[in-house]
Amino acid sequence: MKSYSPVIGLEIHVELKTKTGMFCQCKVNQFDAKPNTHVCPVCLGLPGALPVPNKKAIEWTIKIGQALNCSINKHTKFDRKHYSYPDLPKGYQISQYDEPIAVKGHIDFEANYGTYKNEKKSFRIHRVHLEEDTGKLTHTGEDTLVDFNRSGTPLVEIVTEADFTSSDDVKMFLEELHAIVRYLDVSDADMEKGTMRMEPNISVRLTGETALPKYKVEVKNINSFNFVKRAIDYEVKRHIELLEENKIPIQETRGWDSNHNKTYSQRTKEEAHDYRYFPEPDIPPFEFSGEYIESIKKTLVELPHEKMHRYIKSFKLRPMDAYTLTRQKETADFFEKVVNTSNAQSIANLIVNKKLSISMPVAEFIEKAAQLLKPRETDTKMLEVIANKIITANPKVVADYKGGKQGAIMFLVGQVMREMKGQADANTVITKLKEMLK
Amino acid sequence: MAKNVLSKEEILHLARLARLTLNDEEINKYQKQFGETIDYIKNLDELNTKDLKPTNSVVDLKNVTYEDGTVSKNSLTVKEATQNAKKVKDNEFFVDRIME
Amino acid sequence: MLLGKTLTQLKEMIGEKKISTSELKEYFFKRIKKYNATLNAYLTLNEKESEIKTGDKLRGIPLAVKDNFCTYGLRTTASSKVLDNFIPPYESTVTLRLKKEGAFILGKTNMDAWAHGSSTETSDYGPTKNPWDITRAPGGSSGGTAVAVSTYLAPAGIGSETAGSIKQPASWTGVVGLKPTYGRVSRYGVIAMGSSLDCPGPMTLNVEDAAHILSAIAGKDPLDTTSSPHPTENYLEEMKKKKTYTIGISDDYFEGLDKDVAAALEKSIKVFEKLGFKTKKIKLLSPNYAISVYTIIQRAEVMSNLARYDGIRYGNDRTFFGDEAKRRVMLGTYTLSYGYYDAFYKKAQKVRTLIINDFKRAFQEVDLIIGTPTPITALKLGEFSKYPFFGELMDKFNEPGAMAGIPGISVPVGLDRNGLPIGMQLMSNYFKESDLLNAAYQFEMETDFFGVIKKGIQNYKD
Repeated sequence: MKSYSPVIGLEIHVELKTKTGMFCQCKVNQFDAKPNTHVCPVCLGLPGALPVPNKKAIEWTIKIGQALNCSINKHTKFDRKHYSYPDLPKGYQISQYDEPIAVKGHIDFEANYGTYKNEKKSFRIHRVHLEEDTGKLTHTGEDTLVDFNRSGTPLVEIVTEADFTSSDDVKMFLEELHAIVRYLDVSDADMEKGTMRMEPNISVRLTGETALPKYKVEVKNINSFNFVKRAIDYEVKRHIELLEENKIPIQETRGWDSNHNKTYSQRTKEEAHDYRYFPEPDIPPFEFSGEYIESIKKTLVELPHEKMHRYIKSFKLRPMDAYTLTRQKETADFFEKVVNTSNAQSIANLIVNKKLSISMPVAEFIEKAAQLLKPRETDTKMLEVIANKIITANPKVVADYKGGKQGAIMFLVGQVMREMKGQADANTVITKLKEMLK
Repeated sequence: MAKNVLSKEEILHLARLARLTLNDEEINKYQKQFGETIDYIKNLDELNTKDLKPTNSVVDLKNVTYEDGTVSKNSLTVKEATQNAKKVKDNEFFVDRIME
Repeated sequence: MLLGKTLTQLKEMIGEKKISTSELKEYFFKRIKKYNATLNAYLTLNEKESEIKTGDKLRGIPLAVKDNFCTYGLRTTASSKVLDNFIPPYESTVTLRLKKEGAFILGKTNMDAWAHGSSTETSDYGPTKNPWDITRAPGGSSGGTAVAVSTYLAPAGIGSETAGSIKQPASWTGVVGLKPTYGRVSRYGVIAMGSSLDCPGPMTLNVEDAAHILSAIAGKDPLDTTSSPHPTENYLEEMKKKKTYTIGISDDYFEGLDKDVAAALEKSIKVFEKLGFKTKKIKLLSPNYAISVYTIIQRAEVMSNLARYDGIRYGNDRTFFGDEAKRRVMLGTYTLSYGYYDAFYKKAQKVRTLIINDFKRAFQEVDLIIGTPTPITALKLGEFSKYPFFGELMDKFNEPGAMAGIPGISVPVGLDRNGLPIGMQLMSNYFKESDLLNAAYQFEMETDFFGVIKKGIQNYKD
C-alpha cells in the first residue's frame, strides 16, 4: 500500500475585543444582547452609510502580526470583497486583498515542546489581515432569521502556509496561537463562543511528492481543538480511501458533524468565488512610519514560548511544568508573584498539580505554600522501625532496586509514608531508605 | 456592429454574480450594448500608463480612523432598525430563502 | 411680491420680520400643488408639522432636496421602486447641517433612479419635465431640484453631482449649479452612486445663494473619512472681492458644440475680458479618455453600492431594479470580474492619475477653465434611451473634472434659438470654490445672466 502525507493549511479568524465596531461606533462583543439592539446605519448597511475604521483594531492587528514574527506592511488599505449572503448587509465585506497589514511570519516549536515529543518545527504564516464580521443567521424550524449585532465586529484573519503534515501539529499550533492571542489581550479567542474560529484546508499527496495536490477540502463548523484533530484525521482517511480508488476528492467545503464524528458536504456544486475585489473608495489608505510600527512592538508582552524558556533557564523548571504554567498569562503572572528562586519547582508543582488555587490573594498563597513545603518533622526512631519493617516485607522490590531499578524505591517510600501517617518528610524518608539499602 | 459581444453564458454568469434576473430580451439587449461600450472604453489602450500608479482616491488623506470606545450618537433603536423590513420576527430580520 | 425672491433676499425679509417662516412654507406648498402635477419635480412633500431649528445661516429658508439624501422620517427613494417605501431612520449630514442652520425641507425631488442618468428619465416615478418646454428633459440626474428652483417651487435646493448631475440640469433649466471639490461636503447619508465621485452641492437662482448654502454644508465630517479637513473659507466675503483671473481655453472643450451654445460661450469670454480677466490657450487631455475612465470606475462603484439592496432589512428586492440600474450593475460586474480587473479597472485608475496630473499642470498656468456642461441644450424626452452610451458622451465635459475631483460651477448665459437655456461652466483647482463663486458673481453682476432666470419664472406665476 502506498504511503500518503497530509497537506494542511489553516485559516483562523479572531474576533477582537474592542469596545466598538470595526467601521462604526456600535458596542460590539455584546453576547447576551437581544437581537438588533446594537446596530447603526453603517453596520446595518443602510443606504448612504459610510465606514470609519477603528484605530485600536488596526493597532491590535499589527500587534498580532508582530507576535507572529511577521513583516508589517508600511502601506496598507482596505478592499471590498463582494459576495451575496443574508448576513452580509452591504453585499460586500470590507476586508483586505493585496496589501494586508502583516505578511510572512512564523511560529517555531522547540523539540519536546509541551506535550509533543517532536523534532524542532516551524510553521509559516502567509498573512494577517483585518476585516469586519458578518451578522448571525439562526434557523428555527422553517424560518431563517438574521441578527446584525455582530455585524461590523473587528475580525482578524490569519492564514498559514500549507506546512502542516499531521493533525497533532495542527492542534499544537492552534493551542499556541490561542495562547499568544490571549497573552496579547486582544481577544477572548473562545472557540465555543466563536471569537476564535478555524478552518483547515486539507489535502493528501503521496509521501515524498513535492508538488501541491490539485484539490483541497475546506472544513467548517469546528469549535474545539479536539474536533480539529478528529476532523482532520477523518478527512485524511477519507481522501486516502478515494485516492486508493484512483479518484480525486472533490474540491469543496464540508462541515464537521461532531455528533457523528464525520464531515458532510455543504455545497452541492462548487462555484468559484469571484469576489470582484477593488480598493475601498470610502476609506483612505494607510501609511505607517517605522517609528509607529516600532512603538507598537514595544508594547508587546513577553510571549508564552519566551516566558517558558525563561522559566526553564532562570527558575530551572522542568520543561513540561514551564509549558503548563505559561499556557495562560494569568497563571504565569501569579507564579512570578509567589515564587522565589529557591523554591521555584516546588511552587510550580503546587500550581500545576492544583494543590493550591491561584485565585486566592498572593499573601495567602505564599503562607499556605510555606506550610505545605515545610520539611516535616520526622520521628527518626519511628522511621528506623518502619523502614526496617517495609524493607523486610518487600524483598522483591528491594531486589529490583538493588538490581538497578532506581524508581523502585518510590514504592517503598510510599509505604513508609503511609505507615507514618504524615509524620515524615518525603525527602528524609528517601535519604534514609537509600542509606539502608546501600 | 460591435466587435466584442459577450456570449449568452457570459451575460448569465454576470447576472448570477450580480444577483439579477434577466429575461431573454434583456440578455440580447445587454449583449449588444456591452459590445458598444466595451468597444469605446478600449480607447484607454492608446495611452501609455506603464509607469503610473493607480489613483484609488482623489483625496490626499491617509490614516483616517476613530478612537475605539467613542460613544456613538448614531445607534438605532430596535424599532428604527427594523421599521423598514418587510418581515420581522422577534426583532430579527426574516430571510425568505437561503441564497447559495 | 415673493415670486422670484432669492434665498439671500428671503433671508433678509425673515430677519426683518417682513414674513414668517410658516408663511413662506405655505407659499411654496401652494405653488407646488399648482405646478408639480405637470412638472413632476417633487416626489414627496414634507407636510407634517416639524420644528424649525433656530439656526443662523439659513433661518426659515425652504429648500428642495434631491431624493438621494436620507432624511429622518421622510420617505427617501433615490427615485427607485426598490426604495419605494423606505423611511430613513437617520439623517444625512448635509440635511442635518441645513436644518441646524434653520432651513426647512419642502420635499424630496425627482432624479434619475440611483442618479444613473443625465435626463431624470430613468426615474421609476416618471420623468421631470423641462419647464421651458415640457416635451423636453430637464437634464439629470438632479433634474427635480433644478426644475423646482427654475420654476420657483423652492427658492433654492440641493443636488448631487457624480459627473455633471448638478451642472448639466442647471444649464438645461437656466439656474446656477455648484459642484464642490470632492470631499468638500460630506457624503454621509447620500445614497451612494460613485463613492469616489459623488459631490453634494447647491442649485440656486443666483451665485450669492449658492455661497450661502455652501457655507452651511461645507466642512469636515467625522462620519465621512473622505471629507476633507481642508479649511473652509468665508465664501460670501471672498465672492465679493474685486479680483481678476486667468481663464484657460482648451479646444477639446469647444468641440462639437451646438452653434448657439458656441456663440454663448464666445459671448461669455468677452464678458470676462471686459471684467479684466485674461484668457490663455491651454492643452488638456482629450475628454474622450475621461469618458472611458468614468464609465469603468463609476460602474464598478455602482455595482458595489447597489449590492446591499436585497430586500431583507429594507426596501424591495432586486427584481425592482430598473433597466438602467441593471445595465450599469452588469457592466460594473464585468469590468471587475476575474481576469478583467487589470485590463479595465486598474487601467482606468492609472489614466485617472494622468487626468489629475493634467489638471495640476493646467492650473499652474491658469486659475479657471471655461466651457459648457453639455454641448447641446435640452433634448426631447425619449432621445436618451435610444443610445445606451449617450449620457456619457453628453457628459464628456464634466467627466474629466469629476475624475480629478475638482469643483465647477454652471451659470445661465442666454437662451438658444428655441428659447432653451444655455449654461456656461467654470472649473477651478481643488478647494477653490471661492474663485468660482467670485468669477461667477462678477459675471452675474455684469450680465444679470442675460435675463434668463427672470424670464423663466415669469412662466410660472403664483
